[in-house]
Amino acid sequence: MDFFIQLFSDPIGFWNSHSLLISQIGINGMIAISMFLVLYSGQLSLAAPGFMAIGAYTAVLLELHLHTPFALDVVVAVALAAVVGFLVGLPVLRLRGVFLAIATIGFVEALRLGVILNVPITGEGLGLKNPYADPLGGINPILVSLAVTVFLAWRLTKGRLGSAWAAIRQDELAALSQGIHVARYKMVAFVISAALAAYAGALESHLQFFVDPGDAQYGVTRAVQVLTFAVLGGSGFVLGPVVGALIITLLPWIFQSAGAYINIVSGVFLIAVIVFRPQGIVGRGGLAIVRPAWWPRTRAHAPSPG
Amino acid sequence: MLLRLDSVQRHFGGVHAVDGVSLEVEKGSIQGLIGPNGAGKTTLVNVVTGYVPIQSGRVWLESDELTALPAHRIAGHGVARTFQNIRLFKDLTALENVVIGMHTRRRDDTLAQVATLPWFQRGQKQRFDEAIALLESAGLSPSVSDRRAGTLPYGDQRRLEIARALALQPRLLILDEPAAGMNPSEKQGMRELIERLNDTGLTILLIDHDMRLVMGVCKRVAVLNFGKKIADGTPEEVSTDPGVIKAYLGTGGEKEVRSAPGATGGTAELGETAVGARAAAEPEKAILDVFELTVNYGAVTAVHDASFRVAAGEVVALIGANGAGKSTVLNTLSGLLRPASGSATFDGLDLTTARPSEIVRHGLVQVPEGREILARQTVLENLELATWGRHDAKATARDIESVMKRFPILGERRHLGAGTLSGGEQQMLAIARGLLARPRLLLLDEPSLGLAPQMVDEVFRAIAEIHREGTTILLVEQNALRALEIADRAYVLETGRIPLSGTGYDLLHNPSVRRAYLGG
Repeated sequence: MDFFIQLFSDPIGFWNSHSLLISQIGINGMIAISMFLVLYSGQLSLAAPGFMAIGAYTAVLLELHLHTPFALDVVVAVALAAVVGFLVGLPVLRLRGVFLAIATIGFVEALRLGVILNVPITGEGLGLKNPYADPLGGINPILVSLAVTVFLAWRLTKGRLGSAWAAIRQDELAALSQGIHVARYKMVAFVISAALAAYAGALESHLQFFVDPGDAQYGVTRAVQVLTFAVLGGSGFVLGPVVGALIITLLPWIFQSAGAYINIVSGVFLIAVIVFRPQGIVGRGGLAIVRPAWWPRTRAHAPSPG
Repeated sequence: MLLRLDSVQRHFGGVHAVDGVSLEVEKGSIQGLIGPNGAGKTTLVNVVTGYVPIQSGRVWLESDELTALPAHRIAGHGVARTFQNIRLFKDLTALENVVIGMHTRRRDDTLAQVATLPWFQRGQKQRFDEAIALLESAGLSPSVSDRRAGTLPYGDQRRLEIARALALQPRLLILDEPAAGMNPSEKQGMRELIERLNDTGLTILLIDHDMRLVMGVCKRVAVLNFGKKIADGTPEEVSTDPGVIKAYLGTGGEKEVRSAPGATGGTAELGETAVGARAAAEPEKAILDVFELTVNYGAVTAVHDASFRVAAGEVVALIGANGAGKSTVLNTLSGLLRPASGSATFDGLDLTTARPSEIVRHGLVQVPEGREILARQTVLENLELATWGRHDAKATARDIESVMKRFPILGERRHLGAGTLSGGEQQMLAIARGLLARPRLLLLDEPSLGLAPQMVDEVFRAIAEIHREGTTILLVEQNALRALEIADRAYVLETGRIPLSGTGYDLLHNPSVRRAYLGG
């Protein structure tokens, strides 16, 4: 409870003492939008942690070895991730649904186990020390980036590109009949998503003095966490995954008083959200609480004409 | 010539789906394309629109060669299509659906929209206005524009799909069974829409089962059978062509002509139908007793105070137009929906509270509309799954054998994927699956939906046989004439109410039945 008491009674003190947490929320929010973009175009891609790793390692290695300004590191990292995203997308985007998810997990694990844990320059699994990191200075650029990203993603879904994505998500065959180049638009979404994940990854690496190549950072665990952002928040609207990221990042603080049972309590909370809000916290129909389908004697389901 | 096909071929394995078809569609005309189920009509459309790769032959749209182009490029050349089984963007609004149709002729405005420039807003406003105009030209009221496409009534979804296709500003519009599953008055509306679109100079290629629609609206008609074009000419020439009559109507064609789906028929014509006198009154002792049943979907009342009875050994038909509430009644009886008020009992079991699984075990089995077979499983696996929960392996195997004897085509294809069966065969499979649950009362929901006349005959023959063997049947049909021919008694359902009931024979001769259907 201390957490919330401080949040409401002393917001400035809270801001100063929790700046790392707030930065992390911003980072996760951006990764959530990266997830949103692929889901919005109908692709269940779990590749985000892979591109985050590309962003993080590229930025840190440039900083360590070439001592370039951090802004330039980030630009190079994003460009590299976009190129890798395009190359990975060429074969992988022929797949759909759960098959795409498995293929992208393959990419994430191949990158982590095959490259990052094996190559001397990335520390061979021991991690990288990064003395140039700036844990406290990141908060403002990160929050500004998050706001800009939310705005851009929201605008993107409104225009011709967004219409095409929505059409592809709903029905690829019907989208083809409207003259939409399905493969191209899926690739555009995948590459933008990769670049955004790399951007978030690069900023994240600058928050810690140590780049940890663990599973929870750049592996399947992280991929599942990112997917949970979108499922929990709802993927129909840009803010959904961001809200999901906010809640998941805060879970350890929200349920602080549960002590040793925190994982159980958090799990029950997530299950309850999915049961009562299957479309996510932010979804069509606002924030109303609806009764689940199995609730006795509710409204009729399975409407059928005739 | 607008569209020209030159000996187009497409095989699937050993099946010649489209076998050397040449066809020319004149600019500004309505060209019909008909043929029995499985003749290759939809495959031909899929080849022309790039959904199925062409194997040989060539396709031109005026001077543009379409052969082997990907589907989106063909759409870009101005070939718009609708789909046999409606493919709308279901969770998007009607308006959004139409706006997506404008994709190919819309400048890429990604940067403008990201920068929130005013001309994006202006363009968007223009697109919305145009989309509303398109909805209206397809016969939809502008008030549907904010509704999600999937929630629209069936007929409106068909029209929305046409509006979306029109948004492409097509040179050629291909309509794949636009009137499938519609009642006569809706079909008439569709016919008027097609003629109105053609009057604006649009060239239309129309594929449909319904001879009346195609013959009435088209200037030229081509006929496919087993992938080959067997006739091409004016409707008069085609309809008198002996080869066409044989292919389309089967043997004993005269009977089918009179009772083809959608045939409204006058009473004089119906008078000739020989139907014996049957018991008229409502039975005293009913196996199924439904009393003042009311079912709502949210605020909409789908079924209003419906009462009817079915006695053991009867065939009772529930007829009515699309959207009359027929399927809702069946789904309520099966326990899939819960009524707002009223009662329904089946042999002592209260259907308004019993769980669906209990209802099935009690002997009330529904064969759902649209068949709902498991397309990826084999025929045998579909049947075996229907016996899941039964523990007498020998009797189960015997039952499966016996339904395969009843429907020999299922026995022949037992190891094929159920999705590869034709529509009529899938319907047989769905009925067979229902029989394996050992029903005492079988609910059949629209067994003739989307089937060619020949297959409709076979399905109804099978239903009559099942009845003869002692199963009570409650039959829901839109094809009233066929249903009334085999029904002992029937109830007419009209916008959720039952205004009319009687013996099948009486209703066949009752002009109000026609009125219930045509809404006049």
